[in-house]
Amino acid sequence: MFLVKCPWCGWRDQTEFSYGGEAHIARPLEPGQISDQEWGDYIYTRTNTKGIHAERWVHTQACGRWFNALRHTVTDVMWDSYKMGEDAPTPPKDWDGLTCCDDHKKLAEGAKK
Amino acid sequence: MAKASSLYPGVTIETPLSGKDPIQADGVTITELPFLGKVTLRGNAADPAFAAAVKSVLGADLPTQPLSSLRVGNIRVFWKAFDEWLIWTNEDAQIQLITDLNAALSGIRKSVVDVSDYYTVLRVDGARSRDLLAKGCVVDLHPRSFKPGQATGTGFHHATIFITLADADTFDVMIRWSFADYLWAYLADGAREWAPA
Repeated sequence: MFLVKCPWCGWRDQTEFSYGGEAHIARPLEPGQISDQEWGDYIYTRTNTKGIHAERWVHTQACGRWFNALRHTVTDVMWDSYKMGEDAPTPPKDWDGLTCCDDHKKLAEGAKK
Repeated sequence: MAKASSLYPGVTIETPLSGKDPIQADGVTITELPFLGKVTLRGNAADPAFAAAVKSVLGADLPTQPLSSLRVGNIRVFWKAFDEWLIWTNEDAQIQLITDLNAALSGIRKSVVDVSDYYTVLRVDGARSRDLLAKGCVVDLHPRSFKPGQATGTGFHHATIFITLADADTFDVMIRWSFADYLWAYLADGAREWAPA
């Protein structure tokens, strides 16, 4: 179990959400015009990323809205989420997958002080 | 308690919790707020025409801050999502409200649905209300995190609930009709450790 950040409701328990698979997979505009291979890729082929993974979530038990999020698939820590149509945030290159964006911000502010 | 309908003469109305006595324990009381009017309103809050039309009916701006709510007289309006609100009214007052909303919003994209009989509301009151609700609720209800007037949907063990803090220690929990008995039994069981000897 881990925490998921809803872009509206904030950090919540994972049990309130449902997972919607990998994000940013566009449905072919003309399914009839493409080959079985291409259709198969659209349906089944996923990146199976080890590390930072863009994925879809829905806040089923609260606002009920879909959004995208970045999660580290090794540590199960979510970096940040973003609304549909927005660009994905970029975690720092040296992100260890152990802190979320808000922890990171707090740590950075603490270091400044 | 089952009672006579004010709308339909000769008809008796009841909720799944009708006939249950309030649960009294040391520091927590659980009662039902039966027959509240409940309305789901959807629309584009960023559309000035929509916002103005709703304001003309409610007498106040719709809450647009996530998890917030407001009270206007006997009406309570809760933010549910960026384009969705939940409205509680007194018993049967939702009928006039829906008529007024539909009239004010005619020609504007919206959805106004009477969900009064889809849910019922439990009131969990008292100094131990947080301890009791924490037994099944995944949201942090500590006063520093969940403030009066805040409201959100969440899970309560197997059930999906909508919870709001009405006052310092007074939670109102909206639950689906068919899950009401489950939640009631869960809370009754949870309150047993503080039951009077």
